[in-house]
Amino acid sequence: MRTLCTIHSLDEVTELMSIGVKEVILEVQNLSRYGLMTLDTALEIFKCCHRFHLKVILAWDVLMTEEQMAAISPLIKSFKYLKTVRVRDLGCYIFLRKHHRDLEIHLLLDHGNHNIKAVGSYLDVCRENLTRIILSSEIPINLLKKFTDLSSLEVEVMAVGFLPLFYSPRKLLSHFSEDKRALAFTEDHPHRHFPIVENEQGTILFNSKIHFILNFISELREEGISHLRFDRHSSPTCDLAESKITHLILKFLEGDRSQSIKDIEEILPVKTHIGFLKANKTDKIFVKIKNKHLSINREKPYVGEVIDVKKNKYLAVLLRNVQTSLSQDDSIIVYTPDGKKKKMTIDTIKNAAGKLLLEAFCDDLIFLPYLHGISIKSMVFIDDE
Amino acid sequence: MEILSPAGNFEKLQLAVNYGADAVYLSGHSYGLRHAADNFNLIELENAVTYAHGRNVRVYVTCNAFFHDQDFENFTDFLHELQRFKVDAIIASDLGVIEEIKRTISTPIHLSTQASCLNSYSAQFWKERGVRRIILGREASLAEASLIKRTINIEVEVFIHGALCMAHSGHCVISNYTEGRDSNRGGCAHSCRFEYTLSSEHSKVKKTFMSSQDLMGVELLKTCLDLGIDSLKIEGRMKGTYYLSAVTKAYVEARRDPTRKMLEEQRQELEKIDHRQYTSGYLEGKPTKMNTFEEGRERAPFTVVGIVRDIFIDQFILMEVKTIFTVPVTLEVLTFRGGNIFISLKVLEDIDGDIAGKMLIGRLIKVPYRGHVEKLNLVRMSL
Repeated sequence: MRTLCTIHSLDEVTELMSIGVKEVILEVQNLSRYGLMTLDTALEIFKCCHRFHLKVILAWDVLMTEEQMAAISPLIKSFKYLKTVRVRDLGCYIFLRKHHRDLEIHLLLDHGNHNIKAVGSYLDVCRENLTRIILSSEIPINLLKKFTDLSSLEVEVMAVGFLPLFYSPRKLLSHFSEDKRALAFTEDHPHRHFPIVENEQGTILFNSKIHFILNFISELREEGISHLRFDRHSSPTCDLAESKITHLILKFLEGDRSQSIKDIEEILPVKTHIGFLKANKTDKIFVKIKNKHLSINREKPYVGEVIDVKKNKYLAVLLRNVQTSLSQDDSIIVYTPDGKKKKMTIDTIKNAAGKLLLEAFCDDLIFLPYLHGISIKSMVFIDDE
Repeated sequence: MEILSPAGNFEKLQLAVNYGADAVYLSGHSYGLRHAADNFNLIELENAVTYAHGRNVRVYVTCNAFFHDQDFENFTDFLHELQRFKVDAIIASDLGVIEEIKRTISTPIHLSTQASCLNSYSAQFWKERGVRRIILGREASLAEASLIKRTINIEVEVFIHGALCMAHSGHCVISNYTEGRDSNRGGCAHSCRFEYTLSSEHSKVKKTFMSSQDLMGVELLKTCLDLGIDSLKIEGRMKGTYYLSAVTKAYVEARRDPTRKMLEEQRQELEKIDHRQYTSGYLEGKPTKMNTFEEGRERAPFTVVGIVRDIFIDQFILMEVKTIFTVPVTLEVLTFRGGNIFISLKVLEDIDGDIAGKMLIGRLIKVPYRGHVEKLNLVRMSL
C-alpha cells in the first residue's frame, strides 16, 4: 500500500521525500476546492517536484460551470510534464479525454457512489486514461472488497484528514468577517466547532473531528486498497500540515511503528473518529413519524377519506381513487386514525344538496349515514369479501 | 416550456394539476430525498398517474437518492410498477441507479440536480449514458443552461422557485455526521438553516451563514422562453397547499402572458406567500451578498381558510375549513386561471343549515355564491 498527501509549500518537497512520500497532491486556487496557493506558487512547487522525481497529482476537484470551463486548457498546459490529474466533475473527465489525451486521470468518487453498481459503471464508461478511483469514506470497511474487486485499477481512500461536510461555491465568511477561517457552532444542536475555510472557489465546512483510520491499515490492505491519503489541510483548531504531525502520520503510513497510534493521537489537538468505517446505518435512524393506520397499502380497494363528521347526522367522504367508484349497497370498511375498524353497508349516498346518488366517483364529496366511532381522516375502503 | 410542480401527496398533486402545472414530480416511499413528505405508496402512485394523465399532465418519479447496495433490493420490482403505471420519466442521479433503470425498463430518465451537472462536457457524459433531460445544478445561469442545451442538444430543466441549498446539491453530508441521517437518502436535517456563532481571529458573530434566501425567477420568465429552457421546476414537496397552488398559478400565468406588467403582477402574488427573502440565485449569474443570505422570513399577509369541495350552481359552494376564522369576513377564492373572486361571508352555516359562531378545522360550511368557482379552488383571507 502506498501513501500520498497534499503539499502546501515549496519547503515541503524535500521534507516529504525524506519521509518516503512518493506522490503528492497539488491544490491550486483556480482548480481545487481546497486550493489556497496561486498558480505561480503551484508551478514552482511542481517544477521542484519534477526535478526530484516526486510524482505530482494535480487536483481539479471543483465543479465547473460552462463559463469557468473555457479558461482551463491554458492553465493545465502551464504544468509542463504533468502526468496525472484528479477530477470530480464528469465534465472535467470528458474535457481531459478530449483535449489532454496523454494525461492519466484519477476519478474522485467520494461523494455518493456507495454502491458497486455505480462504481462499476464508472469503471466501465471511464476506461480511457483512468488509473485510479478514490472511494467515499462512507463505505464501511467490510464492503470495500466488493469495490476493489471491480477492477485492477488503483483504489485510494482518505486515511487522515478533516472530512468536508459541506461545500458551497459561494463565499460565506468574508461577508461577515475579514477572516477566511473560522469555527462555527450552535448551542442547541450537536454542531460544534466546525472548521470553515473560504477560498477562491467558495467555502468548505469540515467535520470537527479528524478522520483517522490508522488502526485499520492492515485490514484496508486486505480489502484491496492500494493508496492511503493524508489530507494535510489545516483548520483553526489544528494544523495538520505542521511538521511534527506530518512526520508522525506519514512515517506511520510508510510502515514506521516506532510511534504508536496513541502517541500520534495525543499530539493532535482535536479528537479523532473513524466515521462510518465500521458500519453505516444512516438510513436506519430516520424513522418517519407516520400513522400506520392511515396507510392505504392494503389489499382492499381504496375509496377515499372522511373529511367531516356530524354526530348522528352524516359522514362526509371525499372520494380520492380515480379507479374506484362507490355505489349504493356497497359494503365498506373504515379505518380510523386510532386503529379502529368499522364496517357498514351503504344505504344511501347523498350530495351536499341532499340529492340521492346511485354512484359517486373520484373528487366527489358524498354524505353517508352517520356511524358511531368514525372520525375525520378515517380511510374508506370497499369491503369486497 | 413546461411548468413542473412538486406533489408531496395526492391532494397536492390535484392542486398542482388544477392550477395549471404541465408536469408534477413525486416520490414513492423509498428512493427519494424527502422522507418526511407523505409521498406515495404503489396504490397511491398508480392513482396519481391515472389522475394526472387523465388531465394531460406528466408525472416524474424521483429515485434520486445516493443508493447503497441494499437499496437495490426490490428496486427492479418498483421500476416495473412505474413502467406499468406509464410514468413519464424517472429522476435519478446515481450512475448505478441510472444503469439499473436502463437495464430494467424503457422509461425516460432525467438527471437529478443532485448530480450537479453544470457544463456541456458533463451533460455530454450523461447524454451518452441515456439521460434524456438534465436538471442542471442550481449554480448554472439561464444563459449557461441555454448554451448547454444548444451545444449538446439535450432537454434542460432549471429550478425557478423555492428553497435553495447553499451547498452544491449532493455535496452536503452534515446530517450524516451529526445526526446519523443520510442527507442524500432523504434524511436531511437542514443544519444549514441553524444560526451559528462564527468565531474567527478578529470577530465573533451569530449568523445563519449557510441559509440561503429563496429562489424566485418569475421576472425572468420571458428570458427563459427566449432561451428555450425546456422545464421550470418549482421546489417544495414538503410545502403546504397554499404555497403549491399560488406558486404554480403565478408561473403558469406569467408564462401565458410574459409582459412586464404581468410578471410584476405575479411577483406581487408571490409576495403573498410565506418565504425567506427572494433571490434570483444564479439564474442571472453569480449572486452577491445582498441576494445570498437569509435574514429572517417574510410572513404572508394572507392565510388559507379553506378549500372548495363542491359547487351547487347558483346556490352555494361547500368549503372545507382549514383555519378557524370568524365572520363577517371577505374570502378570496384563488381561481385556477385569471383574476381571483371575492366573497363576503356573514354567517357560518353547515350543510344542515345549523349556524355556528366558529367552525372547527375540517368542518364543511356553505358559502352562498353565484359565479364561477371550481372544486379544489383554495380560499384565503387577508390577515
